[in-house]
This record gives sequence, C-alpha cells and structure tokens, in this order.
Amino acid sequence: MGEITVNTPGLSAESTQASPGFWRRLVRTPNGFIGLLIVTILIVCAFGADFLAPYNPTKMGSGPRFLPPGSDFLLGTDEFGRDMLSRILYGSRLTLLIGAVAVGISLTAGMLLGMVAAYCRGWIETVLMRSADILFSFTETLIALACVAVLGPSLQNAVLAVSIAGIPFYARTCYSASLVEVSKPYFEASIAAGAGPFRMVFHHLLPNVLPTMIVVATLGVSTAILAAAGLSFLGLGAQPPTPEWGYMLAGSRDYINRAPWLMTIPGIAIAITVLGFNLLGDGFRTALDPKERDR
Amino acid sequence: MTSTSLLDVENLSVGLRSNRSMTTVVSDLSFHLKQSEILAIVGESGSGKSMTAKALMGLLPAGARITGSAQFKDVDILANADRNVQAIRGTGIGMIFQEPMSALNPVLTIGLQMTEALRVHGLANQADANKRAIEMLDRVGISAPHTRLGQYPHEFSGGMRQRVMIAMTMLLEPDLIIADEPTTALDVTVQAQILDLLKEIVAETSIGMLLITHDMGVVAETADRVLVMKQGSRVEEAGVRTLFADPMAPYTKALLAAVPRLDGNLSSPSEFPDSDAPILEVRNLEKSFSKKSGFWRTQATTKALKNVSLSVQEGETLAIVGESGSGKSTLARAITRLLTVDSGRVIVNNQDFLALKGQSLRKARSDIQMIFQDPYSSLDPRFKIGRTIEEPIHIHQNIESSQARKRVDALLEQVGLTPDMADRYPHEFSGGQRQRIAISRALASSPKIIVADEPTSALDVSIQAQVLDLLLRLKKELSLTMLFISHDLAVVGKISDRVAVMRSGQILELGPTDRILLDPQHPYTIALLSAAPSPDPEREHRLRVDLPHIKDAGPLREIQSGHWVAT
Repeated sequence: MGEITVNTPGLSAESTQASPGFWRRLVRTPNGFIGLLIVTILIVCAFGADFLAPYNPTKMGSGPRFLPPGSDFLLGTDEFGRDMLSRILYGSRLTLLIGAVAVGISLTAGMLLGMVAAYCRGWIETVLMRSADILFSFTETLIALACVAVLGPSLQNAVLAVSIAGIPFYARTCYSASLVEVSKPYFEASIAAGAGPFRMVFHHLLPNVLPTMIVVATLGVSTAILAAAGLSFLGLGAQPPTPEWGYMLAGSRDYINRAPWLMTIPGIAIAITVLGFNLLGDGFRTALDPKERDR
Repeated sequence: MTSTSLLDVENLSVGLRSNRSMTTVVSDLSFHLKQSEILAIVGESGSGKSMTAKALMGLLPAGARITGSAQFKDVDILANADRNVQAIRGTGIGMIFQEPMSALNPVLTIGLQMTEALRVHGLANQADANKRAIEMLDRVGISAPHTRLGQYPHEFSGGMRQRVMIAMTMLLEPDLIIADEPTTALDVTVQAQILDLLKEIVAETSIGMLLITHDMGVVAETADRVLVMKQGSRVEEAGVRTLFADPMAPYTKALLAAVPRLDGNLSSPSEFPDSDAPILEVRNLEKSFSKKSGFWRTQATTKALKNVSLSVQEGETLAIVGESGSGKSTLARAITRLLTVDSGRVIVNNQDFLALKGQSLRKARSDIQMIFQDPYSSLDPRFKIGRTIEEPIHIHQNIESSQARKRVDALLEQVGLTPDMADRYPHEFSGGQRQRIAISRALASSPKIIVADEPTSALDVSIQAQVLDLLLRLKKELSLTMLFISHDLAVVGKISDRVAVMRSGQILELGPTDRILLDPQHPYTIALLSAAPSPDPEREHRLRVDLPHIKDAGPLREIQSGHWVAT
C-alpha cells in the first residue's frame, strides 16, 4: 500500500504450481472454456478414430461416389466413394500430430536458442538473435516452401519444414522472456553462489519462462496446423491417399460445383481447430495473468 | 466541530473485494483536520493509510465499499454520486503522489499539464494560466520558470518533478492537500527540500495538509498532529511532541523504538588495525556505462566508479553510503563480479578475484555472497525455499541430500525460521521472512564476506529493526566480514564499524562510524547528515546545508588516523 517496493509477486511467482485454481480460472473465462472444449473433442476424435469412424478412411467404394451428407454417410462420400466422416476423424489425428510435433520441435529449438542467447549475452547473443532476425524477414511459408523444395514433398518433410520456419519466432519470444528473468536478483544470487551455466539455464531460467512459452506455443499450434495444411494443399505435404485435411481440401477443388461439401467440410474442420487452439491459448494467458486472478 | 475545522472524517470504513470476499482495510476511522495544520497518518504497509487517502479522493478501485462520512466545506465528499462533489474534489482538494514520474504524462509538456486543470475548470484562459503557472513554478523553487513550460517531464530530475507536481496542485488553490508518501521515492537531500517546501506552503496559505507516510523522521519534522494506524484502525492520535515524548499505545512505542536514530546508540565500532592482509581489497576500480547512440559510435559514457579503492579487515563491517546514482550498488556488483569492470583489482582472501575464470571462479564465489534489496525478486519463485538454500551447498560441497537437508534446517533456525518452512514457496512468506531466507541462502556456502545491498530498505521499520538485529547477531556469531550498502545513515550507524561516503562514483570520506556521523569533514557528508530527518520533534532542526557541487573530488587525504577525506 504505497510502500517503497512492495512488488506484487509477478506472473511467475504464483503460477508456479499448476494449482487447482488454474484450471478453475481457465474454464471460467469464455475463451478458455470453449477452447478447452474444442481441443478436448479433437483429442477424443484423434484417439478414438478407430472406434468412432464408421468406415475405413482409405477404402474406396465404401459407398457410392459423391453422395451428399445423409443418414448412411453423415458427411457424404468423396470422388472415390470413401466416407468423409471417417476421413475427417482420421484427419484430426494427423492434424493434432502435425501441430504437436511441429510446435514441439520449434519450441524446443527456439527456447534453447533464446535462453542461451539471453544467458550468454555478448557475441553469442548477437549472432543468434541477428540470425533469427534474418529468418524473420522471410515469410514463414516461404521458408517452409524452401525447406520442402530441398527435402522433397512428404508429410514428414512438411512437418519438419513448418518446424524450422517456426524456430525464429519462438527463439525471439523466449529470448525476451529470458532477458526479464536474467536481470532479476534471484538469478544473480545463484550466479554469485557459483552456479554453472547448465544449472542457471535449466534449473532457474527454464521453469520461469515456461508458463509464458506454453501460452505462446498453444497459440502457435494453430499457425503450424495452418502452415502444414497449406503445404499439403499445394501438394508438398501429405500424399494420397492420406486423409490429411489440407490435402483433402486440395483434392476436392475440381468438384467444387458438383460436391461442395467435399471442400467445405475439411475447411470447416481446419477453421474450428485453429479457433479452438487460439481460444485455448487466450484462456491460458488470462488464467496465468495475476491481474485477472481475482475476477 | 470548531469553525476552523476543514475536514471531518467520521466512522470511515473501507472494504475491498478480493477473491469474492470483502476485506476491511480501514475500519471505523474518525479524524479532524484544521486549517494551517499538517496531520500525518503513519503506519506500516497494510495499515490502511493509503486506502484512507484514496477513499477521500475517490480513487478506490471499483467494487470498494465505503461507509461513514467526510465533511469538507459542508459537503460529504464520500457521497461521490454528486457532480458537485467531483468539482470540490477537483478544485478544493489537491493530491500529491509518491512517484512523480508516473504522475506526470511523459508526452505532454509541463506547461500543458499544469494549465490543463485551470482551463478545464474554466478558471483562466491560456495566457493567464501560463502566467500563473510560471509564478507558481517560481514559488516552488524551480529556476528559470518561464523557460520550463515547454519542457517535458524527462528533462526534470526526481525532486524537480515533485516540485512541479506540487506547483500543479497549488495552482488550483486547494484548501486541502493530501500528500501520499510525497518524498519516499526521493533521495534524502531532496526529501529535506521538498518537506521544507510543503511546510512553507502550509504556513503561508493556511491550507490543511494530510500527510501519509511510513517514516517517523518525516513525521517529526513536518507534522503538527499524528494519527498512528495499524491494520486499518486508529492506534493513537496526538500532537507530534506529545506522541514522540510520551507515546501511549504499545504499538506506537514499539514503532518508535524500531526507528534507527542517528544520535544515540551508535554501534561501538571495533578497531581493526590495518593488517597487511585485509580479507577484501579493492584497488583503483573503474567502471563506465556507455549508452549506444547512433549506429557506429558509442556515446554518453557515464562513469559509475572512478578510481575506487578500499580495504576491509576480517570481521569488520564497512558501510558504503550514498544517494541514488552514487555508484554504491555498482561497487557491490563489481566486487561480487556480477558485472565486469573496466580496470582495477579486487583481492579476496589473497586471491585476485577478477582474474579467476571458469571452475576456479565458481569455487571462489562461495567466499563472497550477496544479499539483495528486494526480498520479493531475490528468491526463485519456482524453487521451494529449501531448494534455494540448498543450492549453494550442492554446488560447492559434494554431500548427501540428507546431510544437506540438515544443514538447511540449521540455517533456517539460525535466521529465526523453522525447518518445516523449507517445503514452502517464496510467495507464501512475508517480506521480512523472505529477507531472512535470502540471508540464510547467503550463509549457506559459509562465505567469508557478505555484501548486503540495501538489505532493509524495502522493509517496514519494525521488520527492518529485526533484520538488522539478525545481521548484527550473525556477524558476531560467525565473525562475518560485511560490506553494507545503504542510503540510510541511521541504519548504518547501527551496524557498521567504518563508513565510506560515496557520490558520483567516488569515495568522498572514509572513516570510523562515530567519526563520520558525529564529526563529518567533507561538505557532502555534512549536507547528507543535515538532511536526514530525525525522529525527534523536540530537537532543533539542523541547518539545511545546500548540496555542494562537486565535479571531481581529489584523492583521499588522511586527516586523522583512519579518517580519510577527499580534497
């Protein structure tokens, strides 16, 4: 109360333990609730695809071709008579996998670079961060395209390309979050106690920047999914007959007049997924923000 | 209620909403303020003093519940639905805040901000308002006032900004000023000037002033009457002389006893003969910070340390005193190698500390540990405190966890905490407890030297006294050598054997504590001592000495054995 330095313990202080209050706060925000709902449904679909899908997603002639959505085939059939619902369900598995793997790789690499740059300072910082700046000046999609061009078109390569393209973003974000922590007295106190670089980065820095990075990564999942779907749409990612949403979107382009649901359904699926992760990320941010705590 | 009564607060209660429940922060508070009177509301953090001020100004957060009444000019200003009340608050009551930087808008000129209120309230046109603003700036002691209106807040120093704030408030000719910790963010020499100014204004214009503060020294120097608060309630109210001479409530007595005083009970400094092997020796330390401006060139170099040399004997406590920007914290961080210096040597335990690298540096670091000012950020929020304290032990000694755990328990007990606290996180502790934890962490590696950088300035005065006592006890028990950085001469008097006074990166005076405090030689030391508010209203106020302008002080000269003064 108007005292000299009565700092409120910041975001890092109390979000330390994923306290029960955290999830309660998350579902209390409308964004967090809807986001969590969508992502949970997605995860259920992905894991339960084997049980939920009424047909084999790649088996041709499960039904007649170009059947509009109806009672036997809830979401209709495609140009080979494959069940769209099953393909969407199996597609969710791929989509989540792509999102998780791509973000996992970029997050890990980016955080490592960001933390090392913030901890070491000096020329290491300059080299790492300027490189990130250079990569930043290209569009992510462009970098991803270049990677796929070198590696060759396949789903794995597309995921790898998206991961590489995402690194600069995570490196930069983690770098600025780390700079804040590095200048705090607790950090200096441990250095003064004789702690080595490994301990400083992994014991002190990592746990303190992690909450911020989780928020950023959740928001980043949607970007990664979109980018991978984009590559598949261009024919550089998933190859037939993989039920990948981006590829399904591309493959149905020719039939847009005859069977509009073939394009609409994967499009809607992508849109809902992206929305879900964005809302969830937003919810995380609100729930981790100490200022929002008492609402 | 007498006719001269300016503000009558009756049964004021304030409740704040937190976590879906109401917390009462002020309960049933009544007081009266007369014209030409300064009423100080004193208390530690959480006493509700600031909330009282905010309630009167209508600045409480939404959802706060206020009951009671506050009569000001026959209007109850707590019934804030009334537009009339808003107008009275704006023109009849002025407010001065703690942080003069954040109270001024950085992108608008001083002139625009000063005259804004006059124009908004329709009291003057622009030309007239400018004229009055210039007069008022002159009144609050700002030089060349007519050139100032076009300047921006960042062109003023902290003390000047506070003067501008006061001028801004006074322009509206309020009948009542509420000053919420008006000098807390300022250096002691500047604080003295601002307090003198506030007193003059009250005496000249016969307005009333409500002074919110935590500092008993400030109270003794400025207030006519004092209201002591604790946890939202009134503890005691009395005239300032009565209160200091004969406090009634036990809490007031304890509070007054905890205030460190410049006179009385100086620590009797122990003599430490100059041995050939001091435990810490600093030689010709230089450090400059350069601000990069432009693409290629580095410009604007500030010298934070200019040729600083000193030595500390084993078991001795050397205090480094100075105001903000004096380089005292830079010195602390240079000695602990938390920043690299431009040149100079630091010799710890006969080892050139600055020349060490890698593993041998990390090993040597265990000899010299640091305690920081802010107990909130000096502990890793994600570490249980047991792990924080254990860290130095694990780094330097290869011992089993059960052994380490025992050592942690012992350390916690040593600083007055209990072993079961080791499993808690920092945010579960109070400020004073956290500082104790930080101290036990500093002790964990059994260091020879402790560098304490303002270890008590973020704490309430009663907690400060406890932490100081703890440091004194540890110092004796463990025969620690300590470098104690502080801006507060009274605190220094309690704990140190010798004192070095720093300003602009140089040591101006160095000598035994009693000599420095009782018989200062350098003009800056004299000014610093005369500016320090003393918690004794009976005492004749010292003559304020204007700060001497020193660009570069000469080398230190020994005027008496062990007492060095810069020429």
